[in-house]
This record gives sequence, structure tokens and C-alpha cells, in this order.
Amino acid sequence: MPEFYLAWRYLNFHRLQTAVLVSVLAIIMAVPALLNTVLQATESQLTERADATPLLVGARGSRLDLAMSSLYFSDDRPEPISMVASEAIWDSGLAIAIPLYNRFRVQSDPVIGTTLDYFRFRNLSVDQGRPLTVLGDAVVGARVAERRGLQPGDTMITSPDNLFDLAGSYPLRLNVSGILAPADSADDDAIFVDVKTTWVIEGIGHGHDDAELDDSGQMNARIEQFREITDANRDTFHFHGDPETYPITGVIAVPHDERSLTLLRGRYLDTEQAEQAVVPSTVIRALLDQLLTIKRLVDAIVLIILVATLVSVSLAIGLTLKLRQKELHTLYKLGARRSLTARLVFAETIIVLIISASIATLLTIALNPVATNLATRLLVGGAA
Amino acid sequence: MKTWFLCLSLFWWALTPALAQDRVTIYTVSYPLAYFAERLAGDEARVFFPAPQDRDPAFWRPPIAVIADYQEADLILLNGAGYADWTANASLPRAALVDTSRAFRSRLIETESITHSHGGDGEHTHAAVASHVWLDFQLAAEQAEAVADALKRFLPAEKIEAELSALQADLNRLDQQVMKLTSSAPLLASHPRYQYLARRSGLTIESVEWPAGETPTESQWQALDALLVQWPQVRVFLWEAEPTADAQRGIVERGLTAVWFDLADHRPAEGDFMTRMEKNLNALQQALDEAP
Repeated sequence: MPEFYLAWRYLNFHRLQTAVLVSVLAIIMAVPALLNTVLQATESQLTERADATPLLVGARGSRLDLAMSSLYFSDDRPEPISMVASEAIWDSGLAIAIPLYNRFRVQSDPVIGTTLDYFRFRNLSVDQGRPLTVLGDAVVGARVAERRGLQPGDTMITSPDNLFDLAGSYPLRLNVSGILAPADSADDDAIFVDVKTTWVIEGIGHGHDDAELDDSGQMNARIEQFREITDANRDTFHFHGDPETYPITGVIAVPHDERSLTLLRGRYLDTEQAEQAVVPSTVIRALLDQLLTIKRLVDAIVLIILVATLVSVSLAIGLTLKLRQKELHTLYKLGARRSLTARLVFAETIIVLIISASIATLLTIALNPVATNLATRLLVGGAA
Repeated sequence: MKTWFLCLSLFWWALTPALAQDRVTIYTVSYPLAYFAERLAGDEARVFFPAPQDRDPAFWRPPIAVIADYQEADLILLNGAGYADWTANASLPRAALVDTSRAFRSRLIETESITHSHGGDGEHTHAAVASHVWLDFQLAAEQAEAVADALKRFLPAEKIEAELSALQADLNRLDQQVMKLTSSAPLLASHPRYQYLARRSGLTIESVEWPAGETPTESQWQALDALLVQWPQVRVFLWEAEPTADAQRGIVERGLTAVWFDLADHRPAEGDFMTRMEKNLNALQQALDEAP
């Protein structure tokens, strides 16, 4: 195969020119491949979680906001509903109800208020430490723990709801009671607390320090609002009003069977009702359909660029051949056949394509996890 | 024969833990609920009521390890009405929780409330409710029904229904006895715990606030004397816990008939909830009959 040797030597001699050509082709090849694998991975991540969640109940309004907030703990804030929505599901006897309150953050990490039933439902286990037990406890997702270097016994402070809203919720110091085993899902990026702890952050529950009755039967003198729940003050924490009126952002309903699911959905058909029931897989598939349309558009653009590039490359090769006339004539004089010119161009093209394809494959493999993660984050954050 | 016996023993030894695991695990916050669960489920359930005997289960705070035991239970029976309020601040699986007084929340008795304020937030009031609901045996029967409904998730409904009927018949019998209690004079109690008994029976039961099982201090005796001036017709005094000899003597010296009406927060040393309540009611009936 002397033509391949000659082609290789030629490409090697014109390194800069070859490098530019290979780079352009590699990028053109990598973009659709990367886009495809990222979309597939994102799709499987999103649909897997949505499929595993039979029904969501939340405030009537954006179905997507409700699904993204309840499934992926996005920054979306669906209108709050009251805890009575969760109790109503329990009372119906049709499903298990798991309340979720996604409002607070520790910097960018979501603090999710829920009940112990959530961990059983998602099959989450505590890898280090213990589960949520008392007010102020937090169980941290694997990736959050790794990112923040958290261990059981550590503490972290919730971010203020609004720096300029003095009457808003105050930061609360959370006690890390446990670290969850990796679940390869949105749970790895969340901080879980009992829903009652989120109500303390909200200001609905509070504690008293050495509260004593004065002569008039009123507690006043030494009352403070606690923003840290300790063993010493935990018992003084209490809530005002009926717990069923306290806020949550959604409820995961796990019906006992298909019939219960149908009956439960039927209870939320009245559009005058404050709550709606959403089948997450339907909402997520609608979102993915939109993404697929975008992907088709990107594919078309890439195809046009690819054709334009190939035309440019062909043109470049044609011009090169003109410039290489002297060199090819020398080969002819040395006894090479006229067909050698075609074989040389073919060999150079093959070598350039092989190198470009190899680099494109390596790029796709290397960037895939980063791009998948980025795409999921953009998707989850972008729905806000 | 020996070999057979050995084989049988080994088989039973191997089977016992498996059988124990299959049984429903129930944790309760008070003895009456434990009694109801035991009556209804029989050997099919393992019922735990972990509050120590020397602590008042209404105010006891279980340590983390005990809360972890509660978290593992198939059923956690709550009294509601603010009883064992540690449950309001602990993380317990909602799927296992059963508030046995939820069905009659509107019939709970509101008691004195505390008014206070937090800084500049203005005043607010904590409403409190009387918690010993089982002293109204009609309400106790409803609690038993709530326990039965929860048990039906794990055990055959027919068996539970049969046991519930028997239990409710017993509670109705106690209720009939309560309805026969009459007194034109008010009664005094060592602690304000008898609100449901008073409402159901129509008796007026006023109370002091003495620590259970302790001899009252001089100032507490003086407070009682002041009350007796206010209500000179009082002839019967109810002790929530077995009184000390000095405390009993002090009551008798004031011309009162003392009755130890055990609330049955804890498992009694002898008998069970039914026998304890029968004893309570018989003693009270006798005291009312003998009172001038």
C-alpha cells in the first residue's frame, strides 16, 4: 500500500493544514453524536423517575412546574397547597400520600420537606448516620454530601428566603443526621428534612427559651425565636393552628391499584377545585417531545453544516491537486501510473476521516457525562 | 424418641424468629391503646408500649433509640388530643400512624390555654385540649374502632370484627356504670385529668394540681382548704395515683372520702384495663353512695 504511506507522509508534512481539516471534521461529527447520546441519557433519567411516580397532586396551574418541582426539586415554585390535600388522600383510602415542600435552599441545594414514607417509596437508604428522627434533623443526598464534605454530626444553615424581606423566613441551622447512599437520581442532589422542620423555617413552628408565665399569665419576658434546634430547646418547639392548614408544594400519591388511581384522578377533575392531579410520565413525555423537535432542528442545521463542510473540503482538495501538479508529474516521471493520483487522494481522505472519527468518538465519550449532567441541570433549572 | 424430640425442638427454634417476624409490630403511646391492640389482634401482633413505669406517658420524651423503634413499627397508635406530644415533633412514617381520636376531634374538650407573644409579633394563644379521652368509654370504643380499622390492613377482618364487638360490649358495660354515677355535690381531684369522665357522667369534678404519688406541701394543703371553703359540699376526693399515707391521712382529716381512680396510663400491676376501670368505678360508686 505505497499510496497510504505517501498519503501519510504528505499529511504529516502539512501538519497545520491537516490539523485544521481534522478538527473541523471531528467537531462536525461529534456534535450530532453527543447531542444524540445526551438526549437519550436525559430522556431515560427523566422518564425513569416520572414513570416511577404514579400521581402528583398540587396547586392548579402549570403541570410542568408541579412535576419538575416534585420530581427533580427544580427551582420552580408551584403555588402552595395545604397539608389537608395530603390527609384527604389518606382518608380516601385509595393511596399512600407523601407530602413534599420544596421552597427552601442551602445555597443552591434544595431543602425538601417530606415524611419518612418518601424514603421507603424511593427505596433510599441511609449510608452513614441515622434517618430523620427529630425536628431539625437533615438527611443529605450523596452528591451534596460529597460536594460539601458533610458527615453526620455536621451542621448547615438554610439560605434566607429573601434578603430584603425582614418579615420572611429566617435561616435555620440544620443538623446532619445521615447521608443517603447514592441513588443516581435527583435525590443525590437534595437535602431532606421532615416537613415539620420546613414549617419551622417558614416560621409556623417556633421555640421558647426559658419561657415563664408572668403575673398576668402571659409569656413575654424571656421569649426568643430560635433558629437552631438543639437538644436543650427542642421540646419547646411547637406549632400554631391546625397542622392540616400548613403549606406544602405537592403530594406524591401512590395508589393501591389501577382502580384506585382512576378513582383518585376522578376526584380532581373539577376545574373549580384548588388542586389538580397530574400523571408525571405524561407531563415529562410532552416535555421530551418538545426537546425532540429542538433536536430535529439541530440535526438539520448540523446536516447543512456537514454538507457545506464537505463541499469546502472537496474544493480544498481540488485546489490542492492544482498546487500539487508538479509533485504528481514527478511521480509520473518516476514510473507511477496516472491512477495513483486518485488513489493518493482517496488514501488521504480515508486517513483524515479515520482520525476525525476517532477524535469525534473520544470527544463524545469524554464529554458525555458532563454534557448529560449539564443538560439535566439546564432542563430542571430551565423549567423555572 | 430423643432424636424426634431434638428434631422437633430444632425445628421450633428455627421457626420461632420467622413467626415473630410475620407478626404485626405495634407501638403505642398509652396503655389503653396497647390493651385495645392486644385484645383485637391477640397473638397475631407484638404490642409495645415503651414508656417507663415511673414516667407520665403524656409528657414523656423518648430517646432517639426508642423513636427509631417506633419508626420501624407496622402501626403506631396515637391517642391524639395532645397526649404524648413528642410525636408532633418527631419523624414518624405517616403510613404507620393512626390517630385514634381523629374521628371525634370536634368532641375533644378544650382546657385552659396559654397566651404569650414572640417579640413584636403580638399575642397569640395556644389552645389546649384534655387528653385522657378514654375516660369517656364511648370515645374509648371509637378509639378501639380506629385501632381495628388499622389492624384490618394486616389481619383478617372477620377476626378483628369479632374481637371489636366483644371489646366494645365491655366498654359499653363500663359506660353504663358511668351513667349511673350521680352526685349533687362537686368532686375534687388531685389533677385535672377527669374532664371526659365528668362530661359523660354529668358529675362536676374540680381539681387541684398536685404531683402524682407525692405528699402535698403545706401551701398545697392550704390551697385545698381554700377550695373547700369555696365548695363546702365536696365530700369525695379523687387521687390519680396511689397516695402516700400522709397524703391519704390529710384528705381523711378534712372529712373527705378518698378514691384512687387510676387513669390507666400505665399497665396496672394486677389485672388489665377493664378490671382496673371496673375497680375505679366501683370505688367511686361506693364513695358517692356513702357520701352524706
